Amino acid sequence: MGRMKGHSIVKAGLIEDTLNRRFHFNPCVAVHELRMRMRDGRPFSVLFFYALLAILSVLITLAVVTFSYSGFYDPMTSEVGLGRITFTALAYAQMILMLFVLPAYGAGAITMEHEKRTIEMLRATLLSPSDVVTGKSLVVLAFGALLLVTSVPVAAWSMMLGGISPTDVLLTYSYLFVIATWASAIGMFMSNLFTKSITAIVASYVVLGFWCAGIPAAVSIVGMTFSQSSSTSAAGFVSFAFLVLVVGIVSGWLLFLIHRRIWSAIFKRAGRNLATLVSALAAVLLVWLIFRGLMSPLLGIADLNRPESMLLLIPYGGLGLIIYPSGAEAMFQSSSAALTADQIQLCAWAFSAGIFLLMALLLWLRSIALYESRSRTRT
Amino acid sequence: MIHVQGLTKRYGNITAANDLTFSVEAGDAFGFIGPNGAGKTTTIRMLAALLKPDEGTATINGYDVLQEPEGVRASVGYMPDFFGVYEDMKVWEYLDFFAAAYRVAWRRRPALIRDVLELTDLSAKRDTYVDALSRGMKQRLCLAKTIIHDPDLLLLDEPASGLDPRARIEIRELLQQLCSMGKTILISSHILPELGDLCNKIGIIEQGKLLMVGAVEDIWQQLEGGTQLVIVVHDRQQEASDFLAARPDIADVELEENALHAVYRGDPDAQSAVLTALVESGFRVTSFAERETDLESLYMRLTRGIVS
Repeated sequence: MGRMKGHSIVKAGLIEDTLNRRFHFNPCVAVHELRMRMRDGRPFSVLFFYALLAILSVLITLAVVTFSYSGFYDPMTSEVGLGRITFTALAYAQMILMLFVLPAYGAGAITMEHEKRTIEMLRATLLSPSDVVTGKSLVVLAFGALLLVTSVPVAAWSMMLGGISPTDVLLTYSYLFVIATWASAIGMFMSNLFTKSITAIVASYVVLGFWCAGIPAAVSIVGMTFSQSSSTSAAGFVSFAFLVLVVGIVSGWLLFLIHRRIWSAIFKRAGRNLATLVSALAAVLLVWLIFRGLMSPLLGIADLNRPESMLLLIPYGGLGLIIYPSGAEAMFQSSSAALTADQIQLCAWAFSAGIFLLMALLLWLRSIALYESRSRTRT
Repeated sequence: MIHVQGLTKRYGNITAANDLTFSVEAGDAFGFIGPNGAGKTTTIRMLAALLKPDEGTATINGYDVLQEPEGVRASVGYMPDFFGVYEDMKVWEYLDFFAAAYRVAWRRRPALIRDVLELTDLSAKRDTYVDALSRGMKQRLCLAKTIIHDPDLLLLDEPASGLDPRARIEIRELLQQLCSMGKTILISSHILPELGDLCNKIGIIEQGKLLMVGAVEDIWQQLEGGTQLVIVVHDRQQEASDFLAARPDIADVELEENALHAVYRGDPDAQSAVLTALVESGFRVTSFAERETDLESLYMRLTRGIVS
């Protein structure tokens, strides 16, 4: 036993060396965070309730569908398998739970250091802002992954009920993980923006609420106002414009940050403004190329100029399109090209997961920058 | 070890550190004295590369705090005045985390933690949870964390504040031990006796300004220009005071609660001549003594008049 333990310590040490040397990442914050967060009973009670609610969501759906007097579901005649219905309930239940748990989990990461008055000592060490922010983000993500894994047996149960393929399950779970990344990145960003946990948590929920409900509502209202006046596809246009705006801003900003890093290294101190200018131009150019090169063919095959395209930017919308590609079929099918339901499912998954991943990446970079800027200017 | 030139930090209208210039050599124990809010913490945080100075420069071990914060952090052990500890964390895990954070190789960490725990007398608490430690133990643990990466310089901000007398003495003994190990120490305090036995150099700061800096004896000599005598006469105190003031080897006589405080500037061996003269003039002297040069009175004299 002692030998085994010694062996694992050496292994962990070698991993640490590799991360330090090859990736310039000091994993000690992640290890430290895991020790603290996973030790007491709280994460395990969260896991327990998560699993319980996941099971309940499937059970309740089953009960409602099979025992309802209206008889709206008949397994003999229905096109949608019973498994797909219960799996949908499971996926949505998980998404809602994660959107509640993970932002709060991430929002406490840095603010706790302020509240426990440990931040000063942390800053005095040789840990880089990225070591701290990335280490803490990884632990929040690991917890998200743990939550998802907990529900896998329940998903297997749905698969046995029929009507859902392993690909559906894989796409749904990977999409849920991306949403988990995005939600925890929002929490982490707020944790760096504020110094009180409660403020950071409330701010994360406000942003999430605004994104999931506020923006779709605003876009529909604007769309409806316009459609009443003249054009019928105004709602579609507004949704599409919003889609382009989000994709443009997120990818542009990311490209700008990446470029500035490269150009700053080349121009050094002397040309910081020049580096910023060059990076901005490069970002604009690249975004234009992306739209020209990628969006145009996409527009050719898929009709994004519809109000429903908005769904791709909303977590629950994207999930719906992945689980029920038949719904997506109606949306993306343009007259010119014919796509199979599988292709459309993959397309919706790639687009929606991609944009959420990009947003998470941007938030992560901004969190590191925030931590860095606060490290040396705080009173 | 530390070279500070014109260091200034402002918060709005308040100047927390005003044009500070001083240096600390390797092996020194430098006491930073001043009342609460004098600018001690601000200065120490700037030296630890945690706070950006508005003006001036500071180098530590040859590293500039603005240009090379990494080098500064590697050579400095910093202990803040107020600090918290992580919950759900054992003593050895706490030290292991900070050792790793200072990039101490994992192979070296177990032995290092053992040594540091022994030095701070916490070996028996290795597997205890940090939040279960007493306040004095937490303070020692924080000191253990501060020296875990074997820094040359220790920046200690009020390391004994809020401790009971026993814990305070333990911290002081620990610091003396660190001094004898050759560490350079910069320690701040508003409690003067705490620094008395420890420091060979002091800097007195008030309202962001460094009033005086140097070796303890030098400052005393410079300030008084002689030995301070405390003389108690049974009666005719005012007369005695006038008598002393008339003498050329006595300067600055003050009468406080029946005791005469006088500064003797003559030959130290001929000090008894003052007593003889007093007795011969018929004054009934009940006590004649040299006042001890403690930091407290030094500090009181220094700040008298300069700050209201």
